[in-house]
Amino acid sequence: MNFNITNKDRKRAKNTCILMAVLFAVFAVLSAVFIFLTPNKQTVKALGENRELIKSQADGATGEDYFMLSDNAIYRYDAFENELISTFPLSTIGDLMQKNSETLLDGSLYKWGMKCVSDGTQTYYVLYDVNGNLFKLTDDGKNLALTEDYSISKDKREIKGCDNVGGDLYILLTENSRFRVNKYALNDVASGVKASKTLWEINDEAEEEDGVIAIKPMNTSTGILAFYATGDMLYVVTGGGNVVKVSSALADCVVNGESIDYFSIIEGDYAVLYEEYYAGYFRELLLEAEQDTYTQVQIETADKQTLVSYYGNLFADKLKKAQSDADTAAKSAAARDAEKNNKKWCDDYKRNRAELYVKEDYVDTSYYATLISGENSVSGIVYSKKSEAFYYTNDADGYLYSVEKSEVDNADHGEYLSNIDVKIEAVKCGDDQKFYNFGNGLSINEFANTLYMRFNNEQVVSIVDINDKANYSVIHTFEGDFDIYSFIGDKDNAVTHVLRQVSKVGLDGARSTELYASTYNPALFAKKTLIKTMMIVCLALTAVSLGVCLWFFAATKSDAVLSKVQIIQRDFKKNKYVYLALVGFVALLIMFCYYEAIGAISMSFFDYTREKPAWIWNNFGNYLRIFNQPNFWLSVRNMLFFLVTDLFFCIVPPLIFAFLLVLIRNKKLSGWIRSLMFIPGIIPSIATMLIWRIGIYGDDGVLNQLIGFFGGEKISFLYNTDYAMGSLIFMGFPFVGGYLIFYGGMMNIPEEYHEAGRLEGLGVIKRLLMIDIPLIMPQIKYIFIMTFIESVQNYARTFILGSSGTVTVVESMYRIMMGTQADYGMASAYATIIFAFLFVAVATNFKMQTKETMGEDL
Amino acid sequence: MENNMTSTQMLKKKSTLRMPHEKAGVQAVIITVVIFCTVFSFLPLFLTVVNALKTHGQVQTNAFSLPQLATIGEAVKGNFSAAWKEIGPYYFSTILVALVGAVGKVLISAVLAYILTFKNFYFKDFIFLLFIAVLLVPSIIGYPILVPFVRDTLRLGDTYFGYLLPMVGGGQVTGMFLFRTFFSQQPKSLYESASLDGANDVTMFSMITVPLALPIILYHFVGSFAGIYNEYLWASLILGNNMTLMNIMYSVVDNSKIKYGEVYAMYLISSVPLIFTSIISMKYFKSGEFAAGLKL
Repeated sequence: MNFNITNKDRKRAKNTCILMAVLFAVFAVLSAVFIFLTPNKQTVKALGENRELIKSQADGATGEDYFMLSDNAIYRYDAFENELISTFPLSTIGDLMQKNSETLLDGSLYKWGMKCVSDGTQTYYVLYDVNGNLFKLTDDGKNLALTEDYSISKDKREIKGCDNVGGDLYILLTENSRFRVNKYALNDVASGVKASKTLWEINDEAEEEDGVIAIKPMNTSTGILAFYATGDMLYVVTGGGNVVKVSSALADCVVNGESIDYFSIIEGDYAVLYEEYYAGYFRELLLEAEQDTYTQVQIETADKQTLVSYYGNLFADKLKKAQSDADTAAKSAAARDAEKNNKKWCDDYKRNRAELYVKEDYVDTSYYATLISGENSVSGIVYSKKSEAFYYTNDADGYLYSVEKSEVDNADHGEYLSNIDVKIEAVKCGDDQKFYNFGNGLSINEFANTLYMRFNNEQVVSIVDINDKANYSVIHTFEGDFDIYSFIGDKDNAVTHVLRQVSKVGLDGARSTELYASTYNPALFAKKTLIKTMMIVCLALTAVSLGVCLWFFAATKSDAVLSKVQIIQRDFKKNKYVYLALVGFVALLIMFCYYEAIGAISMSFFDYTREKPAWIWNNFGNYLRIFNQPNFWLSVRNMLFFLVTDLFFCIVPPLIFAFLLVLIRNKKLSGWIRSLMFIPGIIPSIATMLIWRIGIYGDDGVLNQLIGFFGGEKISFLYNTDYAMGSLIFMGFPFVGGYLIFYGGMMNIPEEYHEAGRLEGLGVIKRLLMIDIPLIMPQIKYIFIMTFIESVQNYARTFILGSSGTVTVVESMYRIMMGTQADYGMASAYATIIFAFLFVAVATNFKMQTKETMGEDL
Repeated sequence: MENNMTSTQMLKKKSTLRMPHEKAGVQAVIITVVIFCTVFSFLPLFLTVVNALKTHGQVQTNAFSLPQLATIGEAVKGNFSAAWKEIGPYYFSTILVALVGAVGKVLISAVLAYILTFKNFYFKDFIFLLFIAVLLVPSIIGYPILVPFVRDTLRLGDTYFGYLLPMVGGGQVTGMFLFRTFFSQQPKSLYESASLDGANDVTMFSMITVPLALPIILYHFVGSFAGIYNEYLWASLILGNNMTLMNIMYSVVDNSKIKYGEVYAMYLISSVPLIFTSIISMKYFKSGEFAAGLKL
């Protein structure tokens, strides 16, 4: 190592050291800047356990807050920073909730709804639940305060939507199987319903004859996508994609110039009339009058399907007249005849649906109409109050469509939405990114009048500017690293996206949910890729310059180090192509081996699933869960059992077979057998396993056929726990397939060893034990280690052939990774356990072996 | 080992001594056992061939019976056309993918082994350690990271490239290790004289190293081909269950309404590529000589 080190070299080293120190400082600062600038999507903020996002949050007066609900409070968060602003304890309204025998908060997602409403002077939040309770909360910009509560009904009536027009508050609720809209005074909800109306829709499927159209009550089996009140119309968009418009005056359907009130009680007489009228089709008619506001008629059909229908006294007088006019014997026929000219009750018993047929001129269809979405059903719809237009997406082509409110208002019943909508060509995602927006995939930012759309992979959201109707444009499209559950925007279109609510089952079996949020800053995300690349480059350069700097610093202090530096410099110069080539290999190695191994071990300490790809520390929860699983120790036992038997069957039978082949004197025969032994290997391993599963162990398999031949009963080899493990181990009989390596090893043993053995008087068995086996130890070790590693990792055997009793650790890992949960954190914990086991078992052996090899070659 | 070989050559002479196992009775026992084992090793293959030529009902009643001449034509037509309908669309692509993967794997490992055997550079030990340390890490460990990495980060999910890349990139180590053992046994003098003649590394690699190590390279190629061809787990994670033969086959068989004859025909069709690898194996490895240098 005695190189001639001159002062010139030392000086050069010193200069390099200083240069590197400067570079290091520069790169470190740059790195820090880029780290600071990088919008880190991965950082996900936990909003807390057992909190549910209240759906309506974006169209608030402040626009910057959203609300989260837990078992006992409503939390108010700042949409931008996701910071908790205030808490509204539900105990304030606890009294009222206590009155309900049912628990309000049993954890289902859409039990609560919340809407910000403003009559121009005052802003309120209306909170409602599925049991028909309505709470009016005032907001001072920070805290909510209960001003009023109102119970709509003792019955369970789910409130589906809520909206206001000025001082009128409209609530869409379900009443058994029907929809109803109630109107309240926003300033005084407690004073009660001002007007109410059952929602009817015109039935398109009904035959239209002689200008008669059928209207039917809207059935709650249709989901509601949206409910909007605006001007003199209410719009309800059904899950099937139809837009139902109703006059917000809530004056009921006008028939023959008369406004008809549905809410008077039907007298007992009419029940009898109905019964006879439907006698042919309905077995039982049940009349239930409740309060004095509505009437329920429950009819059970012949096939026991219950149909619930409502009829008011719309035709009470007329029916009464028909009844009195008709002869008792001919009542039904007379009633039918009497109605025929004006209207008739009819039922479509095949579809178990009651409908009302009305002459066309009696109904103003423009105030009472259903717009049809056509072949492509509407998958999400929003209404922009500023633009006075609906925006919707269908489930077919991935475009955004707009429909002017005025167009909808003027549209006749039955008109196709596709006739009046405008396809917004500018807003189209790729063919593979159709919209997926049930409920909250579209939302309007009232503040900036922009529209947020989530695509069907649930991770991509586009922000569309809808201010200029002539020129719609996508402002940003951003992609989260996780499924986006809901988004809340502010006037800058900065979006808080809330992750899918994650449900977890704890060790004690209790279910809990968690919510996560993170913020999207469009301006930064636009440059994200660039910033991130720069950051990585700068960090790498920082590390390299620091290393080189320190090295040269050491070199200036010590000649020994300096000479080493010089050796390496010369080596780099001389072998530059070698190093260049190695960069590729090492990159592949790091990318596909080290990254995975280190990543998996790290990930095993975190919560990380496909649904929620965020690293969240869970206090060894994965390991605790694994160790507490009843199956875990069984799987460990099975793994060890398979390991021992595999090692035995992969070494002993092939070794003996190879030895016997060596012993065969007839070399031609031995050659033939060796050739033949290649042939079974043509069957792919999966096929071999399947042959064993079905052809040999199966119900009609070879073994059961043999058993049947001798008069025995069929045995379920693979699913009976008495046989399963044995059957799996026996698979592969007679286990001699891997003999070739042993054979090759034995053939290389010099003949004189055997001759010496013979002179010593060694028999065949002693020869095997004392000469052949010791001399083929390298081959045996090779097979031993390979079998060891493969056996522990062999998931296919138990996956393809196994039953519940044969589960192994690696199979558990595979199932967790491939399952619907796709819990990668948990799978990593399994992988780490397997790795720890293998490492301890193989490392010692390997260390020895590599030392030998290295010593030999280097 | 080399010392042993040379001593063998030096002392090589025909043994005239009679070993104990050479007695006729012992030979008879040995041959019986060997033939018994051989016959039983053929059981899965026998079932496959025989039952592919029979109808569903015939297999169900007796899996061992030979195909009946009367029904064989109909059975073959029915079984093979149905089997081909299932696996045909992905048959050649699976073979091609396995071929490309095996070639890539062998090539990369051979070049790497060449560098790590014949080139002398300062960080050789370190880099060698970097590679062999990977042997301690079972490939399955990384899957929870690798799957999202390939699918989401590289966006190569459901592509054959994404399927092969980690297999080739991560699979270079075993091959390198295997090749290195064999390369280092090649006579150094050949390289020295080639070097004197002005041969560069590319020439030496292609003209000396590869030809000399052809058997072990073929061994690794055949093994890699069969390995990729037989791959199930990785394919199911990256490609789903409908892009490679094994996965299609498994999902067909996993269906409760399987037709036995058809399934066996499917096994037989999927065996065809492995027939070629078996022929290569038979030609080169029958003697087992390659095993002499085999060690970890």
